[in-house]
Parts: sequence; C-alpha cells; structure tokens
Amino acid sequence: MNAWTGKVIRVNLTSGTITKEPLDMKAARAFIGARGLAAKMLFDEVDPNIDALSPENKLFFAAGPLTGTFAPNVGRYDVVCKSPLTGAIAASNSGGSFGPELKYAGYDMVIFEGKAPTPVYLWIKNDQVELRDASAIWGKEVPETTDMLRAETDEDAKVACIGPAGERLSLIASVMNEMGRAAGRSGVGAVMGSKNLKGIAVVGTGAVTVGNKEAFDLAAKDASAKIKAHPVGGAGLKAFGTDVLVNILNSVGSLPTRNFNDGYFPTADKTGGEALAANNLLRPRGCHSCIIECGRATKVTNPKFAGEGEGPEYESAWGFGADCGIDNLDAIIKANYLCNDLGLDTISTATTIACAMDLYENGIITLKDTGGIPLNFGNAEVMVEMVKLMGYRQGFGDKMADGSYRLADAYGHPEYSMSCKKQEMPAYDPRGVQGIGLHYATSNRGGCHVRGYTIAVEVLGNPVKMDQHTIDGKPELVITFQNLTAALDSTGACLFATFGIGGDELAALLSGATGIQYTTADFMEAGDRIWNLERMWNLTAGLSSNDDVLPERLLKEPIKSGASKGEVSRLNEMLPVYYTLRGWDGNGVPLPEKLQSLGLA
Amino acid sequence: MRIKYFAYLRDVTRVAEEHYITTAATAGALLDELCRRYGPPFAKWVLKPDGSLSEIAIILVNGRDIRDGVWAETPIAPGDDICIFPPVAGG
Ligand code: SF4
Repeated sequence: MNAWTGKVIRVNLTSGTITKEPLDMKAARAFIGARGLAAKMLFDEVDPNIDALSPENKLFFAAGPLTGTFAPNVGRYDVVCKSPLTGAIAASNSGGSFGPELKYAGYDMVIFEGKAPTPVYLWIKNDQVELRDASAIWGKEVPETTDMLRAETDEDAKVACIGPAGERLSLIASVMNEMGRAAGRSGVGAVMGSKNLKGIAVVGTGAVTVGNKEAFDLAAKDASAKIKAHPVGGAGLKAFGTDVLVNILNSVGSLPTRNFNDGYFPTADKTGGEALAANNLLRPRGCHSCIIECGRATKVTNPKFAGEGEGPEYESAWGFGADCGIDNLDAIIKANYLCNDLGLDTISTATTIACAMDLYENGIITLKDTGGIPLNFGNAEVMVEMVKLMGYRQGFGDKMADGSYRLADAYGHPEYSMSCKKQEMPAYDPRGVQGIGLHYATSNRGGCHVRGYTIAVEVLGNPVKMDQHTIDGKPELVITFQNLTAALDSTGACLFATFGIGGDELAALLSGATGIQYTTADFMEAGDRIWNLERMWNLTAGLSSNDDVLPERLLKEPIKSGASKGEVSRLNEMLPVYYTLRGWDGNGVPLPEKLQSLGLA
Repeated sequence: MRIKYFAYLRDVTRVAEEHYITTAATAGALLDELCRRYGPPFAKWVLKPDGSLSEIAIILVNGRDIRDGVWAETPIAPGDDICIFPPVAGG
C-alpha cells in the first residue's frame, strides 16, 4: 500500500469498541481521500435526515494520500460529519501536524460513531488504540486540554480537541489541533461535544511510502520549485500572512463593513497585514512540510488585550475588524486568541457579533436583551467580552453561540444574518466581486470562500485576471475552482499551494505517491464527482435550490461607499447558467446522465 | 494625485501614501517614473525582469484594476487615487 496507509480505525463510543478496517481501495481511487473519501463514506453510512447532534451522526477525521509525504504543503486533514449549523455535509479542513501524525501511526482515518456515556478521549500510538476517561479534562480550554492530554500520553503527541464551546454544543464550535490550528467551520466541534469526545492524541513512528519514488521525487521537486519561484507562495504570504488582503479588498471596495452594510472601511489599514507585521508579528509559522508559512505567531503587549498565540488570518482580522466596525488590531488579535482557546470558529463568531451589533443599532435588540451590554458597532471591549460569553454560553452569549441565523431569527429578523445555508459568509462582498457570490450561494457547506476561491482570479489576478464586477464567465470559473478544490482538499494538500501549482502538478504528485496514474482530467473529474456527491447528500437532507441564495441585502441594497459603490450581487442571472453547466436541472438536481458519467448513479 | 503603497513597497517608499505631481499620462508611464524614483527595490515588485509591467502586481486607478481594461495604457489624471500592491495574496 502506498500513499494511503490502507487502514481505518472505527470507534463505537456507545459500546466502547474499537475496530480496524481495511480502506475501500475502489472508493479511495475515485474519491482520493480526506474530504472526498470521508464524504463518500458518510453518504454510504449516514442517513442525511438524522439530527446532527444525535448519536446517529458519525464523525470522520480523515487524512489524504499526500498527507504526511515529503511533497510541499501537504499537512492537512478534514473533519467530516453532518453539520448541526447548516444541516448540510460538513468538511472542515485543518493543517498543523495532526493529519501527518495519524498517517505515521498507520491510519488514513478515524471514524467515531454513537455517544460515549461519559467524557472520553482517544489515544493512538501506532498499533495501540484505546479510549480513556476524560472526566478530569472536560471543562478545560484548548491549551490546557492539549497540555493535559500530552502529559497523560506522550509529550510529542499531536492533539485535536474541543474547548468549552464544543462541550456546550455551540453550533459554531471548532475542533482545534496543536492549540492554534482549527477545523473551524460548520460546527464540527459541537458534533464532537455531542459524542462526549474531548480529544484525540496521536503518536506515530511509521512512514508514508510512495508508489513511484522517482516520479514522486520529480513531482515534489517541481512543485516546490514552482511555489518558491512564485512571488506569492515564495515570499508574500510568509512576510504579511493572509491579512495582507485587508487593504486589497478595501481598495477595490469589497471589504464587508458593519455586517455587510457597506463594502469600504476607511480605517481598515490599521487592521491589515502590514500593521500586523509591524506591531505584533513574532514569526511566521508553517504546517507540516509547508514551504509558504502563512501562519502568524503573534503577541499583544497592550495590557487591555495582552496575550500571545496564533493569528489572526485575514478572515478573522476582517470579521472582528471591519465587519464589527473596529480598527483596534490588539482587540482583534485578542478575540482571535479567545476563539482558539474556547474552540470557536473565528468567522462565524465575529460575524455573529457583527449581526448582534446590527440588530442592536437598529433597535431590534435592546440593553434588556443583552443584559445591559451596549452592542454598538466599533466597541472593541464589548466585542472581546462577547467572545468569552459565547464560548461559555453565558448571558446573551448563550443566544449568540448558535450563530447569526438562529440569533436574528429568534428576534424575527433572519434577514440580518449574513449567511448562506445558515453559515456565515466570509470576507469578500459578493456585491463587489460577482463570482464569489455565486460560489457562496452554491457552496455545499454554506457561506465559505475556500471551496471556490475565485478571488484569486477576480481580485488578485492569479493565475489570470477577470473583472470582479462582471458576471461573464463566472459560472465556469466557479465550477472550475469548486472542482479543483474538492480534489485538492481530498489529497491533503493546502489550498495555498495553488499560488504556484495547479491541477497538473497535483495530479503528478498524486500519481507518483499512489502509483496510480491520474491525468489532470482524472483529477478534475474526481473533484466534480466529490462536488456532486456532496450535493446529492445535501438534497437528500432536505436542502434545495431554495437554499442556493444570498441574503436579500446583497441582492437589493447597493454598496454605499468605496470603489464598488452602487453595486449589488447579480446572483440570479448567474445561477441558472451554473446549474446548466454543472449538468443539473433547473432546480439544481444533478441529471441522471451527469451522475452516470461520474459513476454516482 | 494620491498614491498609496502597500506591503513591501512601503519599506521602500517609507510612506504609506503621498500626494504626487506628474506629467505621466498613463499608468504605465507613472509606474516607470516611480521605478526610477525609488529604484530597483521598488521596481522588482512591479516590473518583470524584462522591464515590462508585472501581470500579478495589483495596480488600481480609482479602485479599478488596470488589468481589467487597457492595463499600462490606462489614462491617469491629477485628481486620481492610485493604489499599488506588489504581488501578494491570501485566502
Ligand atoms: S500555507 Fe499556511 S495553511 Fe498552508 S500549509 Fe502553510 S502554514 Fe499551513
């Protein structure tokens, strides 16, 4: 067996039984691994209509065939389950070293079923796999949990765990690994909490073998050279992190501001990557085998918000910044640290606070509702305080801990939630960047940028430039990015590797590693297959074309200031074209011949 | 006109923005002028080794990316807002 380890751990938490199974190689070949293969197994094993927080849900921690090899930027794994936030399929991707360690221990994935009667954690050391009592660790925040699990197992163990938010079933809870890396989106931390599973500690001393060493060596060298030679992959991300985007998006008028009430934030520069590098950056940080190092080890000395940790990346700096009308970078970083410690998704946490501020400023919620907390836009102290309250579900934080849709809906105004499929949208205003709006609306996990990052082309011009304001060619662009990313995520590679390499190089890496020939077309088709499988799962779960929408605000209220002033999203013109190009009917249902062509019929 | 500089370019220009008077009539001519003014440490981010304009530097005239129109030939006028980013990205 090469690239894949060929082994899966299955843990029934209800009975406490642990079994080891061979990987289904036919499925692995077609769905690659990580996100794709776990989605296929979820599709086969889990009824999409179950309650996501019930024992019937299953939770997959899945690495890809490239994860843990010596190719560049291949340290990723996915957490896959039914999402309690969206009701759709969840696959949250994280870096660090947890995924590679799982492979070195000899496994492609761990599947959790049922619910433990009392808190437990899973300890994996190569062949030895055991469930252990986590009663003494339950209640602890992520850093302490990580330290305690290492102390009880091995000081070199890689730990993935939940914090207080996941324990309290916050629908925006993340799974954190190695303290600062997050499988953040879609509430996967709540599913872990619902199973009484506090964490996983893993140590592996094995290796990942490759099928065609010569071909893999060549492909890895080629990919490394291309990433290093690229101005972005080679130097830009390391120097400024992803937060460098703040000024770019603001300058093109597409930095969502004050809960998407505008697309321009006059003082955004104070929160950008340049300010972060000048004032707070200790050093860049990379995941396993990363040659880019976009991660930020940072420090805040301002006593009000003092701390040290990881982040923020662009989405977090924007969410706690412009989207809340805040330009205090120290407060933004502090909010990011708190999310890491409590196990909260930064995007959904920040934008839920922005939504609460919008509701408050419009008189829909009052001091009586908030427990006396003035939730005005721009109030940095309050923003930081709300993160704590959300993580522990205290006071008004309890109402906010299930995301902006449930919050706004509880007060009769769901239109204030800037979400798609009830998951909060990230940091690109679809009124100013047309293609990303189509992606948000059609993304299989709801509001999300990383599964169809058209910003690379529409704003950055990488590898080619398309006008962000037009809709021409955007459905095709969105589909290409969605398929490419579905395949890429499934290998275990990092999305940022695409600032340097593309489908050709990834197919070559996968072929060399597995010893199975994947052409670029095969690779892209695997992405298409994974996308359609996820779509089918969602349709069975009850979602429909009625969920392929954007908030009304983005369709009807033009951006008020900045370079994209006057623009609205033209989603409704793009969506029918997208459906047709996808081989779906007018209701967004894949046609039988499409499914047949992908082997999904 | 007002020119704003970002990322690495600020290390060279030492200012985040400046008011600038030029006779240059196009974005390309302005960039040539700025490259002469700030020298190779500036030019390496916005020009390719052959001296032509980089396709992945982001240059905005009044918030519009010049690559979406006539690129180096984009006309500029005294009241314009110009933003110049070296090739950077995120996600
Ligand atoms: S580029 Fe960033 S996210 Fe990707 S592997 Fe490197 S550090 Fe991790």
